Amino acid sequence: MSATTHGVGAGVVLGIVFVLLGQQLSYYSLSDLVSAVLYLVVGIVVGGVVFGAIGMALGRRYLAKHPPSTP
Amino acid sequence: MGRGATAFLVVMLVLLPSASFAASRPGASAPAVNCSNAQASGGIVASVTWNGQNICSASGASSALSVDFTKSAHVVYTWNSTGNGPVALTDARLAMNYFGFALATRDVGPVSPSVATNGSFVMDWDPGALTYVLEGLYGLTATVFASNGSSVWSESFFVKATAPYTILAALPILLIVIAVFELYAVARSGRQSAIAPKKGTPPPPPPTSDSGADSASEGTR
Repeated sequence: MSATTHGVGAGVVLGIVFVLLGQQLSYYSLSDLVSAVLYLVVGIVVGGVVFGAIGMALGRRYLAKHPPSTP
Repeated sequence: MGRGATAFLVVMLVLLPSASFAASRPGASAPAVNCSNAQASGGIVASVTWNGQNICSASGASSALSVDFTKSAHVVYTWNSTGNGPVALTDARLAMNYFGFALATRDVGPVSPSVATNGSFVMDWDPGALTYVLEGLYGLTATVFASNGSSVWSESFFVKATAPYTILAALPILLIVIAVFELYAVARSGRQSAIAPKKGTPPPPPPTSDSGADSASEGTR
């Protein structure tokens, strides 16, 4: 699994977690089904894209610092 | 940056905003709003008070009632029949909604039906097992039922439930732990580039075994 895929996977989980955590910290209500699902979808998409990009950047940075050794 | 420093940074990034936001919740000391409490539906005009505060003052998420989840709430339903004469109301219900479904429901009755033009129901609402599980902003629906089981009046309102010591509920703690774990995983995701197989490279050869049993079984196939 590449760094980008790793970041997307973690971002999807973080998107869900932050949406649920926002409700637990009283920022918004998830009482209505439609708006709650909408919040979750937005969280999943934004989390996946943002943390996928972060993962990709971190992967490139790591490879720039630690180039793979060729036999 | 070392691993310990990264983990510490991630923990602080998550915990500090959580603590400060929880401490500065809007509406925690919101003044009571006087409102006309009558909302007629089905010939019934009713009002509901939550610890003395009319729920019509909490019709929006921004004006939600602040509720201590460790204490029970004294909920009083007062109703009047308008125009249709005496009616028999047998039940009052309070439902707490989450993702469109009733997370917790409490009923006063059903009580024995008696025909009247006005009356009241009293409920001491206790969140029960939810006390140490949940907190946050929730929509509730107060409903009054007739003797035939049909809903004759209902009103939705919002409450901000607070956990013991602001954060000591199981779900937010679990979510924070998951967030910390995933942020740490992202911080370490750069190493995955070195681990991931490159496109076009042949798969690694299968491990060879020198054991005699394996060789014998291979030979018999």
